[in-house]
Amino acid sequence: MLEIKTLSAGYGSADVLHDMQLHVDAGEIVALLGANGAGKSTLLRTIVGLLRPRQGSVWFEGRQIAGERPEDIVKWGISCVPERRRIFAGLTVQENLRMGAYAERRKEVVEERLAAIYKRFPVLLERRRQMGETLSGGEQQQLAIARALMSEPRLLLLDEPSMGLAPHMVQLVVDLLRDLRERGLTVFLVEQNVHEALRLADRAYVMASGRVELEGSASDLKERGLELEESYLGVA
Amino acid sequence: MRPGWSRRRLAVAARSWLSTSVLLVLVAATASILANKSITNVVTSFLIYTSLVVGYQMFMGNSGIVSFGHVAFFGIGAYCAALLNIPPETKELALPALPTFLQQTQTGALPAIVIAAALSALVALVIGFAPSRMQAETMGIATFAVLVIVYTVIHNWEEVTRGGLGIYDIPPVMTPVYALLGLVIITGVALAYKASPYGLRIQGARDDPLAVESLGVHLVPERLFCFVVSAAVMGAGGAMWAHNARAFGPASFYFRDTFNIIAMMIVGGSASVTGAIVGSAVVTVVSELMRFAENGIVIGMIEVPQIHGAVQLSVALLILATLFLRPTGIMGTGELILPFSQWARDFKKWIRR
Amino acid sequence: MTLEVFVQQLINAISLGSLYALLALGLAMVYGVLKVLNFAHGDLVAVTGYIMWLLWMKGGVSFPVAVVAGILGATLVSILTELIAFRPLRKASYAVLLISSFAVSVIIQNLVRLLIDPRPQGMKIPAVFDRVMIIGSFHIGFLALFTLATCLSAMGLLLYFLMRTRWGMALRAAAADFEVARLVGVPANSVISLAFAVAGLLAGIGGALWVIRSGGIAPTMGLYAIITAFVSNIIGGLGSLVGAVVGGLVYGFLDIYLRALLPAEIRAFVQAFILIAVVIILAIRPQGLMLKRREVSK
Repeated sequence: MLEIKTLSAGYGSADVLHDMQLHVDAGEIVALLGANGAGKSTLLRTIVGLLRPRQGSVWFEGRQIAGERPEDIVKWGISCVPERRRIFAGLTVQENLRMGAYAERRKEVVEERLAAIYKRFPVLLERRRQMGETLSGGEQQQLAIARALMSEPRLLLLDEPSMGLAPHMVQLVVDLLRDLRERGLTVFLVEQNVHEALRLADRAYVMASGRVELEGSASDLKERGLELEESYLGVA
Repeated sequence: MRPGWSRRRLAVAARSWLSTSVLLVLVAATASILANKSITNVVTSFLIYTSLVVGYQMFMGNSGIVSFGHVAFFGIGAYCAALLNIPPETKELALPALPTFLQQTQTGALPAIVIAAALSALVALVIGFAPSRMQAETMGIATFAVLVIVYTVIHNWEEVTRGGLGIYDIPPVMTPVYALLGLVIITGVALAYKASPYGLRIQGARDDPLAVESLGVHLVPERLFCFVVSAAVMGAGGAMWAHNARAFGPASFYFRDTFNIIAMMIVGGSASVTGAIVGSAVVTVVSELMRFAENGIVIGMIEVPQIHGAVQLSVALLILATLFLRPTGIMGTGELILPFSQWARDFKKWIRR
Repeated sequence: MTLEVFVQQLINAISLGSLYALLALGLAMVYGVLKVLNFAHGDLVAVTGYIMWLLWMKGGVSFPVAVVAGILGATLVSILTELIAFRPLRKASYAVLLISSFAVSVIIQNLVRLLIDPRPQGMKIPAVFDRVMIIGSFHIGFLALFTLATCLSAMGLLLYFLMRTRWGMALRAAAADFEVARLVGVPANSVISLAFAVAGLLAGIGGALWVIRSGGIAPTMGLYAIITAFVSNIIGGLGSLVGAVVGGLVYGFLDIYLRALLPAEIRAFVQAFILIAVVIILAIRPQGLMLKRREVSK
């Protein structure tokens, strides 16, 4: 579904990603692991259109999307939950959700999606008239994911979804993502929290200094455990 | 971050200073030799005005903050020097309300320049305190307020400045040589600051404010120091300018000159001292050429009508062209370094042949 | 100061403050999405004024039509400014954008001089604006009330637009987080042009009121407008729409009351005093009145 070939990208004169190669098949949950500064967020930004790659290609469902604009990419079925949530400040929970479906112009469709989201996220229904920034960390993460789901994507990208969350909230997010996969959503997430990511994902890539260093099924990588953490992720 | 005085950086700065000075000496010498009065005037004015651009570059180039207020210090320096050095007879006539000690003094040009610089520095210290504590973007706009405050005061404090009527009879002391000397000294100060620990710290703040703060650099004092030093240079430049212009009014220190000075700095290269000088030359040439269009000219049988605003339009377009095509300006971030040792070697080789 | 004078000045202050607030709001709209202060915003006032002058004084067109044309002209110029000077520099630094907008400001001023008229001109303002209403012992100028009513209506419409329309919500979202707004499908170019269009509209309305109040036009009249807009935003807190309004009101109050309270000899310095007061406010609260303390370094 998503295929990345020989991708190099960066800011200014320095490249952050060098010759990246990876793929995500429909219905999978794939994790990208790596230490801080490895380039994980840069990769997501490139996929989603905020960064134009210097070289290489990004294929989504047969369409080359590298270098296209984010506002188009969301229409083609990719949605992103950014790092640190990035809720729209000054907008209510409901408005945040409505913004998630901005690409959809038909009002009835948006209302339907909103109702479905409220069913799945009762906390958001309860707080729908509150300002987004007044929610707790965990609630904001739910809001960020719900907002991303409002565009009914086929591929969901998440940038460090567990960061700053209490363990029970992380579990909630994991359960949520599993459930969404059951319903046909493909998930690609980027994480520093190796443990949780490998529990959730089917396959994973390990990234360091802008390159893919390892790939394999989650179970294989789990077995390599400590070695993984030390060599690639800089965790002693 | 406690970078010390680096011998290497100072050496590079010294070489730039030498190179730039040599170039300027050639320009001034040519003007003196040609002995054409109008060329002499043009060159002297150019050298003095360029000092102002260098003074402005000291602040904006190093801190990255666009200040709209520096021309105020140009004005303070000019009026201060004028009040100190206009002959007492003229002052009695034109400024009868002036306090006696001021009215009866005539300090001579050099002390006037020094005092002007000091006064500008003092005003900058007082009025720059609040803006220095703001975010970088806001500080630039806040310096706007400085410009307007100083202009309003100069324009209305008629006992001291004669307000809109303007002040006159400042002794015409400036020659190309003196102007050259002033510019060379000011260029040296600017290059030294750029290479100094102070310069480095504030350049770090320009490029990455968060990183630099975590290394222990206190942004507010650094910014204020840069502001004050550059204001002192503007004051000195203003004092020299007053001794060349001989008569002026408050309108010389407001938006038109702010615009010109910013243009010169941007076109030449905001991060470069040499850039300020080069930019000054380029913008001056373009302005003088377009002045013909602004006044309307007759070419043979064709009468070209006045194009109002031609000068400012061209300068503005020049700024936009620079920002679109080469945002770092003509000089980029580098300084002029003429390869003297290489030339010396080549010269020796050539002699031996 | 007697009660009558105080109340009359109060109305003047609120009226002038609302005008300053309107101009500051326009600036804040563009700052919200681009995070840059558009120097050329003030010159939209001159554009409005000169179009009004051209049509009303020279063209014999009726006053209301001239005003509408002036406002539309300002809106158009604002949109063009974005296309010509800001869009090509989209990825540039803050300083570059600020200087670019400064250059555009000079270009607009000089184009007005070149294409319409190079000199300052007087405008004959319809007599209705000179009327004074007498309520009890209070003398209240019609112009002051008209200004206040117009500004409040404009702000009300803006509020409705921002809070109750899809595009308005998109604008707010883009101002809150431009990148994430793009991620949910808000088209970057369109929302920026929209911000400039709204800014132009507000500047046009403010400009028309300004011209009516001052009775004259000059190519550099935008200077005072931009000073007040800048300063109002900084007093109120850069990035906050409410801050722009509060800042404008504070500036208006400072203007009217300092002018009224200062002894005659130093009244000419009122502009300096207002700004000194502003500098003092900022010395105490560098982030502005409506914002929380932020790092100096950001």
